[in-house]
Order: sequence, then structure tokens, then C-alpha cells
Amino acid sequence: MPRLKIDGREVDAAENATVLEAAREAGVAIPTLCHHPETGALTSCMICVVRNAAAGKTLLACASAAEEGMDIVTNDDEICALRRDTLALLLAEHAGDCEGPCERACPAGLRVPQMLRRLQQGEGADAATIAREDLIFPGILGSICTAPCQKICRRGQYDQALAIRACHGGAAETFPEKLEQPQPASGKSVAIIGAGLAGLAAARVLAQHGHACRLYEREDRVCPGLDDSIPDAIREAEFAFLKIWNVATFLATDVDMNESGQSESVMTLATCLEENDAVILAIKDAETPNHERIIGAREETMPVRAVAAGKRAAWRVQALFAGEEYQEKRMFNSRLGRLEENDLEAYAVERKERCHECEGQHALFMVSRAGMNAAPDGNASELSCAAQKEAARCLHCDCLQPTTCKLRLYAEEYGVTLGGKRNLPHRIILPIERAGAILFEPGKCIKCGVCIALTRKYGIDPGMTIAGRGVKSRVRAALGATLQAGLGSVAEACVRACPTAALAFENESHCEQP
Amino acid sequence: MDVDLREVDRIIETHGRDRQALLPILQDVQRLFRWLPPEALRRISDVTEITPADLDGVASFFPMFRDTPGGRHTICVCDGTACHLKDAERVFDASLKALDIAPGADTDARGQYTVQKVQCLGCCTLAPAVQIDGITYGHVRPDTVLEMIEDFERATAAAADEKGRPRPLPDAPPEIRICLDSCCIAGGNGRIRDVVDETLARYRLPAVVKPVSCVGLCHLLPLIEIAVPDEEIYTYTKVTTDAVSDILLRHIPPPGAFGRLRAAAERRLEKLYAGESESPVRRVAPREPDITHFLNIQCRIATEHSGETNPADLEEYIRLGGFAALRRCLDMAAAEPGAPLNGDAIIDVIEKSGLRGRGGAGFPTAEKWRIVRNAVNSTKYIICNGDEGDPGAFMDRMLLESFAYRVIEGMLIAAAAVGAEQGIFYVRSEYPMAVERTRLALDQCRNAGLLGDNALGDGRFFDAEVREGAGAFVCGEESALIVSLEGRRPSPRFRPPFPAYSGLNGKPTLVNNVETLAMVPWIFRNGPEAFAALGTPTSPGAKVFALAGKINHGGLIEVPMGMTIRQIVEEAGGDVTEGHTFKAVQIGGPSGGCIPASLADLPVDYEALTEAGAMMGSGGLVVMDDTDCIVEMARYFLEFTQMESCGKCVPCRVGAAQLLTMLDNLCAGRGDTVDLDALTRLAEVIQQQSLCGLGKTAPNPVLTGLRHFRDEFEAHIHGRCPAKKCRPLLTYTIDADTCIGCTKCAQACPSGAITATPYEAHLIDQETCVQCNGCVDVCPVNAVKVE
Ligand SMILES: Cc1cc2nc3c(=O)[nH]c(=O)nc-3n(C[C@H](O)[C@H](O)[C@H](O)COP(=O)(O)O)c2cc1C
Ligand code: SF4
Ligand code: SF4
Ligand code: SF4
Ligand code: SF4
Ligand code: SF4
Ligand code: FES
Ligand code: FES
Ligand code: FES
Repeated sequence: MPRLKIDGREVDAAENATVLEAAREAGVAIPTLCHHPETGALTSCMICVVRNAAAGKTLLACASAAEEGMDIVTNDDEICALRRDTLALLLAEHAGDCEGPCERACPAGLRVPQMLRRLQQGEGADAATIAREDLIFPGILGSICTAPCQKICRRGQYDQALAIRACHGGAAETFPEKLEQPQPASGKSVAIIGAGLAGLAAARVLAQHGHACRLYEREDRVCPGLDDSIPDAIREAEFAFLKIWNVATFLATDVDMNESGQSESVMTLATCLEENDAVILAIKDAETPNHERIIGAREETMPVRAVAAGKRAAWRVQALFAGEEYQEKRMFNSRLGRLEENDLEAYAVERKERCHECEGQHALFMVSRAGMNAAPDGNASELSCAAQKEAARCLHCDCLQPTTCKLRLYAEEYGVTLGGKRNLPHRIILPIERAGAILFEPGKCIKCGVCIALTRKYGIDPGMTIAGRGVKSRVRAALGATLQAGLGSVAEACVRACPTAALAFENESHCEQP
Repeated sequence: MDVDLREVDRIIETHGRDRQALLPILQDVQRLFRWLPPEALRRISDVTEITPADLDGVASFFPMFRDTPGGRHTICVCDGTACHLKDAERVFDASLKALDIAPGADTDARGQYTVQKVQCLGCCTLAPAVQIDGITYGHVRPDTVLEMIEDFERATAAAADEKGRPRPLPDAPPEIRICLDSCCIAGGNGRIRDVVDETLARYRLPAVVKPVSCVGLCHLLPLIEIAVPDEEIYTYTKVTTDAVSDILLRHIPPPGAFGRLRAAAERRLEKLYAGESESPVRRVAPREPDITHFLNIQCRIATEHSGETNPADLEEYIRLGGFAALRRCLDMAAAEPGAPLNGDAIIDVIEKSGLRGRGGAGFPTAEKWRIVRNAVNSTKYIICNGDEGDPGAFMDRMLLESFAYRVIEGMLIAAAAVGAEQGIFYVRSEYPMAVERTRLALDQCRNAGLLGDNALGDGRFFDAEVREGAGAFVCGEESALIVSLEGRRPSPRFRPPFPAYSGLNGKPTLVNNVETLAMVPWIFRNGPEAFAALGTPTSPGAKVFALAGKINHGGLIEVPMGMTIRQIVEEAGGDVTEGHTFKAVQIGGPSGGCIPASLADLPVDYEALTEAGAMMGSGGLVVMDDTDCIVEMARYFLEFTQMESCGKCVPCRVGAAQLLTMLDNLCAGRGDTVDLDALTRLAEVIQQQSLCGLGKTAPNPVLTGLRHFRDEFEAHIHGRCPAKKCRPLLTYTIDADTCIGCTKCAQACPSGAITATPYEAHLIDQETCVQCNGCVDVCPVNAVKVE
């Protein structure tokens, strides 16, 4: 049994073990993409690189035998830099978006494609729930948002952008919320200064988590700046939580921003601080004092930004209460960006057909709020029919496995940044292929060779193969066969073995936000 | 076109049904149908052991296999290093235009011609070279493309007439030596040989035409030598067809009535080669006195007897000492019949000689042999690597065409040393003549009992066969070569295990380069000490180089190691062209790097070159002068490696493409998008992280360029090309004082950037100018200035 050091620890490796196996045995994680226990080393991804300090050389952990006297370093700066730069190369040819352009563009981060899929499948209530979770006030925003998501919607490049705003507005309206009881009281209280969209959004999130909220507003009504054109019904429905959850609302109450002074007649920031566990400053153009328990949530002119600011402030308060460091949750995102004319067709062709209902034959159907409401008595089935058709136009730009894809996780872990003079795209856009419930997105394939090795091992005829060479090489079913035939009886195993979402089940995941 | 599956079946019958038959079957199918029809592929997968995945993976890997029907004839425009430097790109464009081929297509509407780019036809000194089917044309210019195609059509028509006509070969002693290697035929020797034959027949001259091994004087072609017994040998270079009869008549007295012709011939010749010294020196080329030097500084080991021996004459090879080395080895290693030979004795000699692999990396040959010898396995293979994919090198081709017996003898000695029974010559299919001659030589050796049951004495069997590659640089990498032989997609494997431990079919396999094996017999005949005495302590012996680029004499040379680059350029190469200065050499092809003139006193030695950031590589040596751009050269090599990357591992697959984009940007006037630090880092990542030598060495041309000519890279970032090579970076202006208003430039400008203003100074509109250089070419007074 060879004895070697891995990250300074003495390890006895099994006979014929690879460095990777020895490390895993010893509990040291080494990243791998093309490694699969059933196939033997494929040595294509180069991510498992480690250094043998005893020889002063780097080596591939998945393919190199663990040898007596090795001194393996798995994670120093040089190795991490090599991994990062290699990942960046993989991502340079990666043709896919981890999150759809629309959801990245929405300041409040609405999971647009997920919501649209619910609508498309006639699950309007679920769609409304997603919209409410992410947008807090989907109905209001459905009326007044400037809809940056629609400006970037990829379908817009193809013919016309999805009517995203109308979809979440309509869904919210058609499927009104039945407010449930908030979580049990936490015993904490938060003062929120400013009852604009930011303050209200923060209040809603915090109240839902059982925190007592005190909302202060200078004017004599909540959200004074809100556009008058918004139907009262929507406004009332979305602010109903204030009453139902008993959020203490102090209208026409000016709060003196003086941090230290106290006064009988006017409310001051100092008093707020004293009476509450945290304070959220949700007003326009005010400097947030540097205080651990004061959290700023700028009331922005753009409504959706204000909502986003309120949400973020609420999360920070949550973190404060939990005694954690607040961290902005922004995962690494592979981005496809704007497509060339000819790539667009290849990109869209199979995606359009993911709408089974009508096999992609929809005429362009614009949903307007009026259109959605056109049905008599708000008949939900009629309504969702319009929304359904609109939603079916979505190209599903988001990824099928955004939370399990190893490429994304490693990109996040090693801090890959893309763009600039460093990274030039080298991607080829090819249409999606389908085998039953399995989708193959060639653009997301990293040519690791695992599915090829598996189909070979299990004697699938014709099996998968790699065709062409160099940057133009691609994985495909051999000799022009269908994906179904190429993957054969090991299709599911291949999906599970695929390190990215290149091979994925159509209906898996989609749901939870990372 | 209907696909006759019976033909496919017949091909399968000839090659067998196991996996190893994959490449040969595909090659024959391609030859037959001029593409690989899907029906044929399906048939192959149905009736053989070959899986669809392997078929698809391999068929789509090699550019020679087409997935659409190709034309009846294939025009291969060489885009190898030397041809590239001589504007092959424009010849390619002109060919497409001449045949009216639609943009994006490669075959003309009538299905007659397919035009494609190929890497090095092995006639670099005739650059730019074009090959139509078997016929090679040298020094092709864009404006002579049509002429070339017409000539080809005439030639094929004539060949159809002449089929089967035997060539008369009189058996009298005077020899007319002419090299008929592929490069020399392309250089005109083929046509000269026809005229020689005709002349001999017409005057009934008692002489034989002897096809001989190549002397490597590519720049002086066509070339013949007259060897009259007991007389000096006369070399005639750049022979014209008109001069042939005069040359022959001068040396060989014609019988009877033709006698008086002779004196006249002599007179005419003297006129033709005026200035020749009184007494003809042995091997002097009239008017080219420094050819002596070209030959004299050389040292013939792999190319021993060059220009004297007939490549297809086994008896002659034996008469000149051939196979003596093998016999000596067999004596040295003698063992009881039935017992294995004592190969260690042989390996000791190789060790003493210090021989290192000529395939690129310079691995000590003895060490490799010993590993294979010590491997305990009853089956061992030897592979002679003749894939030679470096776009600027052709020495292995020449060695196999001219000295196949020597390589075979080397292989036999290696077989005796390591205990192998089967050998394979892996030769690229772009070298049809090398394939054919090696096959022929093997057949002759087999008939003579040198191969087969008793090849290694006392009933010890050894035999070898030729297997054709399909044209991919990466197939020269030993592990890819082996997978390719096994009928798989030629992607390199992770090593270790090295082939010497586990190679072809998992058996210990010795992979040696052609030249390495060609060195071996000499070592045993002359002693390892003599070999070690040549060259430097760490790099003994001699090395064959393909010398090309901006020098007066290009060609194949074999020089002792340790000679300086300057000596090679100035003495063997006859220095750079008059009026230009020597700037750098690019050594080692796409894996190597450039060495600036300031380091030209560097000896050619594995270590010294590596230290300078370059690499011995296979031995391509391209000389650059002040008009050559280092950035452009790096770009060219990267384009090559990028195209040849197998695509298996990420750093090479994507990294090379990224690096190429950066270099493209530099050369195309988008230099401001390039960051040299990012470029360097990318190059380092590719170097460190790639799986095989192709990727690991691909950034070398860039990195050496940056090391020695960083200012040139920086200039490109700022939109200047100091060598004035990268046209998009140039500004064309007309000097008003010099311009005579002849309007020629205005007529020549394809984009209408110049308005004709007769008798007045002309003006170039910078917006419209496409930097084609057309105005410069036509201006009679050099008024066009390029900055
Ligand atoms: C990309 C690449 C291409 C190569 N091409 C050749 C080649 O054309 N001929 C050759 O002999 N060796 C070539 N080699 C080197 C071989 O892998 C191997 O080292 C060599 O054949 C060993 O022979 P030697 O020990 O006699 O040098 C190549 C290596 C790489 C990485
Ligand atoms: S496959 Fe992974 S990296 Fe690619 S888009 Fe999906 S989650 Fe992102
Ligand atoms: S319309 Fe506004 S709120 Fe709605 S998804 Fe788009 S950006 Fe987000
Ligand atoms: S097509 Fe769908 S997923 Fe893509 S950007 Fe538009 S709404 Fe988002
Ligand atoms: S599709 Fe196959 S080759 Fe591509 S990433 Fe997935 S497993 Fe690897
Ligand atoms: S380095 Fe290049 S040629 Fe070598 S295995 Fe990797 S991709 Fe293939
Ligand atoms: S190379 Fe080791 S896991 Fe991919
Ligand atoms: S023949 Fe063209 S480069 Fe060699
Ligand atoms: S002259 Fe024969 S190889 Fe060039």
C-alpha cells in the first residue's frame, strides 16, 4: 500500500488507487467533471489537476496512480488559478444561460420562465404564487413596471417579446391571494421608515416571518407616490396584509433623522432604534447612518427596484436577527447574450416546441391586461387560456439544472469571471434534441465523454459519439441516429452522469430558487 | 450517384472485419466514391465489428473523408509553412475563381474538381505548390492557375493514351542519375526524365536512366547527373527540356551516324552555361558554385549515398554495406537457437552512441528500447512513425522514398534488440510515393528472406507492414497513432502508461521516428564512438532539416548537431535574399518557436533550443527576413494547431481557438482588443493543462515571439506592423511629387479607392482602400507609400 501525503496528511492509498480515489478516501474533495466511476479516466476536463510537490509537477488526479512518497497539494493558489482559467475556457464555449435573460433583468428577480411554464400548463395559481414570492406586489408591478425583462427577452429578438408584465399582473389579479397566517411571532420588532413600495415590500416579508413591524409614513396614506391609474382593487388586494396581519402603520408621522436626540412631540430615529430591534430606512435620497441596526432600502423611482430594495432590506434584517453575515445571493451565471441572426433559428427551433399543447403553432398572441380581463366574471379558465398561449411562446432560456450543474457550482466556487479581453466566446448554437422526457442541449455539452463511454460500455448500438474535431467537435448519436437510439437503454444513467444540464430531464427541478 | 454496396462488401473482404480494418476500409470507400456515403457507413457497421460510434467518430475526424461527394479530381493547394509565406492563400482563391466555384462550396458545379487546402505537400522549396491528383505543380501564381489546370487536363489525356507503354531501358553502363522522389518530380525531374528517355531512344544512346535517392538540392531542380564510368560526375541543375539532348550528347557518344552531332552539342552547351570554369569540378553546378558548399558542410548518415543509389535496388543497397549492421547485431546478440536474443548487447551500443529520438522530443533511444526489451510480454510491436504532420517538414517522406531499406534495417535491429515480431510503418496517405516505395521495399526484403520466418536468424520471425494514416497532425503523437491503428478516433490517451509499457492492443510497443531508425545501421557499421564524436555531448550525431523560407537555397540537409543556426542559414542556405536582412528562424514547426538573428550562434542541440524556448521538433527550419512578421507567423502556426487539435481536452480545444482569435485580432487591425498579459496567461494555461504534446507545445510560437519580439506585438496593438506584412494595418498613400499621373493604380484598384486623374497626382481614399497592394504592384515610379 503506497503511502503518500495529501494536503499535508499522511494517507495510505489502496493498491492501484488513483490520486483522486486516495483523496476521496481521506475525505479530501477534488473537483471533477469528466470522471465517472464506471468509465475509467477520460481526461478531458482537466479540472482535477493537483500538484505533486515532491516532483514539482502538476498531474491529473483522476488518471494518475497514487504512488509512494507523493506530496499532493490539492488547493493552493496556483492550482485554483489553473482550475479557474480552465473553467473559463469551458464556459467560453458554453452556449447556455443558467438563468434566463428575463429573470436576470428583473431587478426583483422574478423567476419568469418558471412562472410562464406554470401558466402554460394551466396552473395559474402556482404562477401567481411564484410571482408573489418574487415580486411581492405582482399586480401593482403588472401595471406600472417599466419591464426591463421584456426589453431583453430573447423571444423579442425572434419576433416579439413575451408579455411578461401582463402575465404576472394578470395572474395576480385572476388568482387573488388567500392570505394565510404569518409565521408565529418572533418577538422581534422592526421600525420601517417610509411606506413606499420599498418599505411596504420589507414590511410584507418581515411580517410574514412573524416580526412585528412599525411602519412610519409622512403622508396620510401608504404608498403616496403610486400611480393613480392602478385599479383600486389591485391596490387593496396587495396591501391587504397591512390590516390582516396587523402591521402597525403610523401615517402622517414624520420621523426626525437625528440619531441621538429624543423628543416628546416628534418621532426620532433614536427612538425607533430604542424601541425596535432594527430600523429600515426606506425613503428617497437619505443617507443611511452607519449603524449596525439601521438598514437602508432606498425608495427608488423605478417601482420594481424599490420592491427589490425592500426585499433585500428584509433579508438583511433576517440575517441580523440570525446573527449571520448577510450575503448577496448572486450565483455565477453563464450567459448566452445576444444571438446572431442564423444562430437564433437554431436556438429557437426545438424550444418553441416545448409547448406540447399546441406544438408551437401559435400565432403571435399579445396578452394585454385588458385581454386577460376580457372574460366575463373573471372566468379563470378563459383567462388562463390567453395567458397560456402567451406563455407558450417562451423559449425557456433558463437552464434545466441550475442547482446541480457542476460546471456552474465550480465556476461559482473558483470565482470565474467572464467577459472583457480575457474571454472570447467560442460557441456553436445547435438545436435541442429530444429523447422522450430527456432533452439534449448540445451547447451545454462540455464534451466530457461520459455519455459516450457509458453507451460504449453497455454496448448501445449505435451509441453516442464525438464527431468532428477541435472547437468544432460535438457530441451526437452516431451515424445520424436519433438521440433516443444513441442513448438507448442507458439514457437515464447518462442524464444522471452528465456533469452539466446538457442531458437533463425536462420536468425535473425548475422550481426552487437556489 | 447510386451507391453499389457490393463494392463496399468487396472492400470489406479485402481488409477484414475487425476494428483495425477501419481506416483502410474508409480510405478505399473514399477513393471509390469520392465521399463516404451514409449507406456505405451503415453497411460497414452492419457487417463488421466496427461500431457506429467509432465509424462516425473517425469518419468525421479526418478532413480527407468527405460527407458530400467530391469532384472527379482534387486540387490540393498547399498551405504549409513555406507555401504560406509565398502567398498560397491567393493561389487558393484564384483556383476557386478559375473553376467558378460558388462561395462556401469546394467543388465545381460539374463535379469535376474539388479544391482544398492541404498541409505541406513535401515540396516546400517549390512553394507555393499545388497537387492535382498525383501531379504536383510548383511555383504556382494566381495568374498561372488556369494554365496549370489546362496542363493537367492535357497530361491526363496523354496518360490515357500511353497507358502500359513500357519504357525502354538500355543496359549500357553510363548512368543518367535522376531523382524521382515526389518533390523532384514536382520540380520538373519527371518531365526531364521523359525527354531523357526520348533522347536516348532517338539517338540510340547506350546509357541507363537510374532513378536515385535524393540529394536534397530542391532549389536547383530540375537536376540530373551524368556518371560515365571512370569519369567525374557531372551535375546539371535547372535543366531545361531543350538542353537535355545537348547534355546527353556531350557525355555519351552516340553510335554511328549521329557522331557529328556531338561536337555541335558541346558548343551549344558551352554557350548555355557560359562562365563555367575550364575543368568541370565534380558535382559542380554551372553558375552555382556554392552548391559545393551546400553539399560539403553536410554529413550523411540517414541520407548516406544520397544521389548515388537507386531507391528500389535492394542488391545495390546490400553491395554498399546494407544489412551488414544487422548481421553484426545478430552476432553480437547471438543466443542458442530457440532462445531469445541477447538484445542488451545491441542496446549498449545505442546507449554508447547517445542517439536520441528524432521525432521531436529527443528521448534517449536506448532507454526506450530497454523499457520495451524488459517488458515481459510475448507479443511486442515496433512502430515506425512516418506521419510527419509538421506543415514545413518533409524529411521522413524523403527518407522513406529514397532510403527505405535503411529504415527497414534499422527496424530489424530494433526488433532484435527488443524482441519484437511485428513492425508497422505508419505513413501518411498524403505521401503516396513513400507508401508505395516502402511497400515495395518490404516486399523485396521479404522475397530476399530478410523479413519473415528467419529474419532475425535461427528461425526468429519478424515482419512488417505499411499502414496509411489519414492526415492529421495529432496522429503523429504516439498514443493517438496507436488508437488510430486500433480503429478508434485518434485522440491521445493519458500517459502513463507509455506505449513502451502498454501500446498497440495493450502490448509493449516501441515507437520510433523514421529518421531515428535510419541512423541506426550507420552506428553499427561505424561504431558508436564515431557517432558520438559528431555533434554535441548531449546531442550526438546528425540531423536532417527541411530548410525553407527566405533563403537562396532551400532543400533537405543533413548536418552534424551542434552546427550553429547561422552556419545553416548562411552556408547551407546560401544566406537570405540579396537586399534583405536575416531576422529569425522558426524551428520545430508548430511546436517549436522562433529564434532571433541575435541568437543565431546558438548551436542546434536539443537542450540549447529548448532553453531558447523553441524545440528541435521534427526538423522544419523556416528562415524569415525583415519582411516577415513574427505575429503573423505565430498566427499562422496557431491556426494550424487549432485546426489540428483533436478537441478532446478543453485547454487545447478552446484555448487554442481563443489564442488564435487574439492573434487574428492583432493581425487584422483590432489590436486594441488584445491584452498581452491575458494572452500570455492563456498561453501558459494551455501549455500546462493540455493532455498531449500538441496542446502543450502549441503556444510555443507565440511565447517565443513574445519573448524575443515583444515590441512587434506591442506595435500591432497600436495598429502598426513593423514588417509591413499585415495588410489591414497598413496605410497606402501616394506621394504627390513622385506620381506622374499615369492612372495605372486607379485601373488596378479593385475597390475604386483611387479616381483616375490623368497627368495629375492621384489620391487614395482611405475609407475605400482595402489594402490589396494592387496599386503598389503596378505603379511604375514607386509613388505609392506604405506605412
Ligand atoms: C502533436 C504531435 C505530433 C507528432 N508528430 C510526430 C511525427 O510526425 N513523427 C514522429 O516521428 N513523431 C511525432 N511525434 C512524436 C511522437 O509522439 C513520438 O514521440 C516519436 O514518434 C517517438 O520517436 P523517437 O523516440 O524516435 O523520436 C509527435 C508528437 C506530437 C505531440
Ligand atoms: S449547464 Fe450549468 S453552466 Fe450551463 S447554463 Fe446550465 S447551469 Fe449554467
Ligand atoms: S415586468 Fe418588471 S417586475 Fe415584472 S418581471 Fe419584468 S422587470 Fe420584473
Ligand atoms: S423567451 Fe422566455 S425565458 Fe427567454 S427571455 Fe423571454 S421570457 Fe425569458
Ligand atoms: S452530454 Fe455527454 S459528453 Fe456532453 S457533457 Fe453530458 S455527459 Fe458529457
Ligand atoms: S492537447 Fe489538443 S490534441 Fe492533445 S488531446 Fe488535448 S485537444 Fe487533443
Ligand atoms: S480530467 Fe480528471 S476529472 Fe476530468
Ligand atoms: S509543400 Fe507547401 S509547405 Fe511544404
Ligand atoms: S530535391 Fe528531392 S526532396 Fe527536394
